Amino acid sequence: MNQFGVLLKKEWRENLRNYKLFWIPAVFILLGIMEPVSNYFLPQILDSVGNLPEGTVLEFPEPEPEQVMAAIMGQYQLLGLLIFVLAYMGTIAGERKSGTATLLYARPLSFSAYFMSKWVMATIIALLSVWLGFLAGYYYTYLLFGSIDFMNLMRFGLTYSFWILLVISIILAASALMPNAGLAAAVSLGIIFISQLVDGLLGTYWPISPLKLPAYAASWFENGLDMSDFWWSVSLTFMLIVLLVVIGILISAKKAASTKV
Amino acid sequence: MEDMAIRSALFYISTKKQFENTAKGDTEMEESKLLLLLLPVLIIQLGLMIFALIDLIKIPVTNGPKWMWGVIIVVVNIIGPILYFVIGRRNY
Amino acid sequence: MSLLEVKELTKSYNGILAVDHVSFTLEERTATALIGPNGSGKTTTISMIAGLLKESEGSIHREFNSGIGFLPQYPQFFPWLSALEFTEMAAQISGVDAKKVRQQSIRTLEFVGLGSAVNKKTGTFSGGMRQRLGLAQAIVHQPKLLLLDEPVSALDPTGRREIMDLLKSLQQDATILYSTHILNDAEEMTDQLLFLKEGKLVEQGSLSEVKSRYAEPLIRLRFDTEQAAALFESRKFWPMQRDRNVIALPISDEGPSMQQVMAVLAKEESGIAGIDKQSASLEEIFLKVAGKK
Repeated sequence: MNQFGVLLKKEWRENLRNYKLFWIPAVFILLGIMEPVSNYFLPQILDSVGNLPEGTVLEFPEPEPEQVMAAIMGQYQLLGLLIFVLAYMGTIAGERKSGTATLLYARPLSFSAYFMSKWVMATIIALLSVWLGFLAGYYYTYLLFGSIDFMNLMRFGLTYSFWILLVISIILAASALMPNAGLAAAVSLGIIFISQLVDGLLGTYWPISPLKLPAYAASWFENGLDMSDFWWSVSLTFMLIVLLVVIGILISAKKAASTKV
Repeated sequence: MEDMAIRSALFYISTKKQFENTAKGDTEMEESKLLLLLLPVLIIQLGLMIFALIDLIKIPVTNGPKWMWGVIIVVVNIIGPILYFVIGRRNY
Repeated sequence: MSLLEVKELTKSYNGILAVDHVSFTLEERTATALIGPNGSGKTTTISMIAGLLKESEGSIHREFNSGIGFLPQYPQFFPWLSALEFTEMAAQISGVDAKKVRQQSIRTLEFVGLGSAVNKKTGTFSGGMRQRLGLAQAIVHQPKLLLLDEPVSALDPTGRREIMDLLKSLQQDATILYSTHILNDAEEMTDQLLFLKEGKLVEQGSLSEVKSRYAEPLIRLRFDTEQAAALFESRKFWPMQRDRNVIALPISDEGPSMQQVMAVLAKEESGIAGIDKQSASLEEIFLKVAGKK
């Protein structure tokens, strides 16, 4: 078996045996379900907890199913990304710090196989979580609010998946660069959230940006998507992912000497 | 499998229509429906808790005392097991 | 034939020399002990030869293509892998033929005494078991050169004995470079001694060469009684020290030779019970070299 296969098997066993393969998708499914359910029961919940005078009639506009799906994505953008960062911050930095990497690095190890095995495994779990969460969320949305055009749903999911690939690449490159898991988390969170904040505040000036992919994903539901901006943003994201992976491989090789002996 | 999913979906939709048609205050229907809708949520919550507890029992050391994590996993809904997996468990 | 040639090997961290122009060669199928006090650069030297650290200056020339086996002082394993899974992974990364991986891994684990723990998770292993697994992963791909950093220091006497015996049996097939601060171990298995102090190689050679260089051999005279010994001492033939009925005579430049001592003893009829000659132990040499400014 080639090194990539051997190392991917190791990553698979790790994620299986520390239950990441189960708990991360479970959390995404929960988030996906709770959004439509809580939306649906919001009037009743407010009714039962709020001390409203007799006879008050609260009018809530029932959300469109598309809005519910976009709201699920909103949950993933905050809690979901945080979970990915916390789950994979130490995947390289932690191995170096604890010294478990030493026995790998002292062998004729291909660092591209090493980094890619981690990238592929984290990507599989992240995409599995996001898609299972979307599907579970859509099932509930469909039951409670109605259906969404299937193609638009797929476009929505695929566009968001591209953004998730970028997030995973950022986390892994940070883990390769930083001396420990905590700093890797801080750097990833900083890049992911601060850049989004900046893009949100000033982003009207540049329609082409990887950071706009989540917004573009939701735009599939509204017919208001400039295809040229969209494809340029996707291409830019793709290039960034490749760049981050190459940087990650080079840095993990360069910093191999910092593993604890 | 597919057939079952469609049928249960139809069931849900019909109950939803019924629910909308019935006069407000028919709380019995509301509660049973709520239960059905929340059942998967409860199952996943319970699953997370059980996975976390099994892992807690099997793992030799955690960050912080084991009993504390046991309490957190059981008492704090959803967040408890996640906190354990992210912070309590020594992953590296 | 020399297997590995190290020339002027140097490692500096921010201008501080951890290893300072060290040169030596390793001959095929020999054991070399790297000794020296803590912080003398043993681990840094081994790490550079293992390829984990890049040397600042100097060169490491290898006369072989097949791999290196490396055992760090505190080997760390992925706790969720079993001993067999880990050893197989190690073998595969080192390029062992896929068909042979399973068999070779099991045989190696049996060799190091983990035959009954192959399917146990490494996270549950005791210190002794970790050291054995560390040795297993270092030899599973049958490397020509074995680099062992303090292979037995963390073990109890029984475990140390067993591992030392394993290492000695490995010497038939591999060249071994190991560091230790337990000098009895070094005395037991060494064709070449390398003595590091503050990053510099201060002594080098076979055990007997080093010993003879530092030897201040003693002649020990054992008398029948304490009185006889005291009497002999009072004659003040040469500088000597008495401990009860034993007198130690250092044979140095100003001291006597063995023949002179024998001649005096024959004349004196002094109730001698035994004579033996003793050279300095490695430990004495170690203390001497380590303490020398």
